[in-house]
Amino acid sequence: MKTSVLVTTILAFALSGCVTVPIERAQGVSASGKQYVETLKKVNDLALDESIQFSANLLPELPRTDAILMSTTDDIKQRAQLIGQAHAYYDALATYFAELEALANGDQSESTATALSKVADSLKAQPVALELSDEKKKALTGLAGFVAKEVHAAAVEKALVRDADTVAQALAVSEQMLDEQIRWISVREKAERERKFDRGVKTPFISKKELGSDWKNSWSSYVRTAPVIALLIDAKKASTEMQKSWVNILRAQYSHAETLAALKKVKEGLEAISALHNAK
Amino acid sequence: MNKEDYSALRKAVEDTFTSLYVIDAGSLTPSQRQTHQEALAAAYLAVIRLENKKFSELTAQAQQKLDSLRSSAIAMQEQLAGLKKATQTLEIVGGMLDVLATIAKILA
Repeated sequence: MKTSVLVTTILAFALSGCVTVPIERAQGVSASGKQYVETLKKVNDLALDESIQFSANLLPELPRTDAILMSTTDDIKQRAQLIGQAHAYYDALATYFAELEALANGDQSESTATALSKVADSLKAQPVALELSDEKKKALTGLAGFVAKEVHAAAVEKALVRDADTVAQALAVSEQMLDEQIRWISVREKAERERKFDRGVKTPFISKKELGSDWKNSWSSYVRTAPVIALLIDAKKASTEMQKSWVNILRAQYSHAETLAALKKVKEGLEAISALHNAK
Repeated sequence: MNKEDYSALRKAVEDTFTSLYVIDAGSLTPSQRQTHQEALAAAYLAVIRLENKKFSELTAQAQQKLDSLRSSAIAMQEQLAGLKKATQTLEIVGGMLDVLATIAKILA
């Protein structure tokens, strides 16, 4: 093998390691991003379910007038519309991360090398009959693959730099929406827990009635953090992690493993709560 | 009303609603019960409307971001299509190279 061919081949393989860095970054952040959007959509659905169920339970306790019924109904219908708009927004965010993943996975270097190999073979055939040794052919196709890889990495890098601000802003708005929905759920959970405490714990305790296992269970569940609240705290943490992840990806400091693990935990919990709601 | 005042108002409305929700209507006189029902209804409507108002502001902000997100997603589709197209072109040219070489020889 001639020195120049050898140097080219070694250089191509040595540089290919550096070239894959933006691709790996984009693959990691798009996987976290897709899971993050799924989590937001589940919280979105849960927030609407909680609002509807709470209102349905409360309405029989309110004055039975046409005005009360229609005002509450209209306001909850408006909420359903807003949740629908949030869903459309999350879908657009999910599409973004899916496209980023497709771009990151769209490495054409192997097919480029194969295509060039065919070109090289046809050059060896008549009427061109180019003298091309197998070594030269291998070096040439390897270099073509490397160039394609570099072009691909540059495209991914370009997308990350171009979209940095847009996605950072989108993630910030998503977190504000998440905060708002956590507040809806928390207000209703708190009201429900306070009522249960007053009726199931405080009143029997003060009235010095005999306190059985029901009372003990009521007291125990009151002092523990409600599962849904604990889960929403996790969702909030995961959201903060996702934003950090996006900022760090651009600084080339990143670890997606923790974000993904946190999101997986939240997603499973939300699914369990939704299943519980549906079973009621 | 500034942001802090609005935030304090919202918290006060939520706390008022919770306080009313906790009251056991069974312990009230008929007249008190009616007052309680009306207050509870008013407080709940205020809670929902404050929540809807805030969320509609956020979804409006989100709508503004939608166009940028869509443009970015389309730009990536085009980039990916461009990468694939380059390889396809090379494959086609590879298959036709003998023809091109013949033409080149004739023209030489």
